Amino acid sequence: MRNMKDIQRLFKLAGRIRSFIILTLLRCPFDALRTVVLAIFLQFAFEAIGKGNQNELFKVCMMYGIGSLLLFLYNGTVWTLYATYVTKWVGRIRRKLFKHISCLSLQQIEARPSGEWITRLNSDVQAATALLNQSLHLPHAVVSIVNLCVSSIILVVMNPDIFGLIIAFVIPHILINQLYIAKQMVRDAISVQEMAARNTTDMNAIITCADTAILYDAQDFLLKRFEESSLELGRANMKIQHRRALGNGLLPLMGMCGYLVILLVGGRWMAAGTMTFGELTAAFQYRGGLLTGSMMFINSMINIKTAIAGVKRINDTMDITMEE
Amino acid sequence: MSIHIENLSFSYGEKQILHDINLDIESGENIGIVGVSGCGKSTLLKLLAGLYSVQSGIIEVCGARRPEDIRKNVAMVMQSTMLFPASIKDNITCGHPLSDEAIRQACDAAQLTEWIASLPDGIDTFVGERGGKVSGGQAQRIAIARAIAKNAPVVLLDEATSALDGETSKAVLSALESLTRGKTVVRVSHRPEDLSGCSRIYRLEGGRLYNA
Repeated sequence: MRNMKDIQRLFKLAGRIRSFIILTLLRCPFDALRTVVLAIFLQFAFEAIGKGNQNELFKVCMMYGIGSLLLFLYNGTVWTLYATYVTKWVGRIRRKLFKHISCLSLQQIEARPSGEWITRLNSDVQAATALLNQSLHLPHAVVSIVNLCVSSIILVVMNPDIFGLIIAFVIPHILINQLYIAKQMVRDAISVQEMAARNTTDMNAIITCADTAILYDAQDFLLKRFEESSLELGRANMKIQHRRALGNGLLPLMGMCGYLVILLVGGRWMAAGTMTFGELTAAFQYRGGLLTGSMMFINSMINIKTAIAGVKRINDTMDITMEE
Repeated sequence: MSIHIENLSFSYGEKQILHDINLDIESGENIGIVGVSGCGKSTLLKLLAGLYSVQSGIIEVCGARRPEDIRKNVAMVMQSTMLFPASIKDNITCGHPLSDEAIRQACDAAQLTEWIASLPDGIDTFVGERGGKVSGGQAQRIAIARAIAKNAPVVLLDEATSALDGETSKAVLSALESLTRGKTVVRVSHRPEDLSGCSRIYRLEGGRLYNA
């Protein structure tokens, strides 16, 4: 909840929230529609193949081709608009942060190491804006929820048993990710930002204290400090990468287990005559949509939690008020 | 002879800063150089400290001519003290293995002992590079303690007393007295009154050195 408030504050700072909502809403239907179009295509195509009807198969393929083309044209247009929005959004945050810091008194500036300010202007902004410009980010989380809901509803209507089997593998996966990966990510990401600030300060000292360091033969001392803080930063980053790797390792394990169970159960239903091959293929497609949606959601949440560290530090900077 | 300067000239690109400077300073002598801002006082001190290489002429400090050898014989305190982003102890030792006794003596002489004792982490207290966590006077006294700990025969003071006021001034002046006792001292300042106590005072003007 607090994280949501932090994100809300960042959006208020950047402004133009309405444009963001509109663009995200425009982006929402794509994945769900693609899943539905592909599932319908596979179902009808395999049924046409089963009947040996070449004419119907050609029609289905043509419809699918046209549908896909329109869908990708729409998606490309929305993403182009979104990319422009994000570039301006990042620029606005950086400008406002810079303006705020430059209005602080010298006493306030000098109260923190220079590396802290440089980190706030650079890597904190980069970390926070990853909310919108990383490969999987906030809009993806919204899109994935829509995709999840649509795929789930269709699967429940189509075959509630298969839906139950899929959910039995998806829910533990999401829970493990949230409890053991995403939750720890905020703490790890904050630690990375703090280490980055110390590292920048140590790097800065090599330049700003150059005369004193040369005169007192302290270059090795400063370089050693820089090396130590670089190693600490590396270790903090490594922690995040380990958690990501753990998440990535879980994906094939849970995915493959679910796939095999549905294949075995579906095969039995087909043998019993309660399910056609086309229906099983479509069910697999909806399962794909559901899994892609949940994976996209999990990864977006991990990225959002990592970005929260930067968001919190930006908000913290904006909270520093000018002293009288 | 502690410092020998002969026909020294120095320029930043096309801009000539120092012209044909000649100066001899005996061991234990305390001399002052006065001049307006930008006249080249700090450049002359950086050359004397071995921070800049001589372009033309000779600088000899305690018999050393190479900058790396000159630096071993010189300690310097500047007006705007930049501290390392490290502890007070590390700022004094500069990472060198100094004995606790030597550090304590440097702190005593720089009037830091009482203040350090009042800090929760004592001498291991972290200070910012611009002295953000300590006052200007405290930062300057840490720089003086660093210079005392180096125990170099030549001490250079660049506007070291120009920005002092009130109580801070007293403590810093006392610390500077401990630092310069028995040493060859070159002070530069834009205010002639800061150079009281110098045996000779020179005026740096148009890149040339004149008797003041």
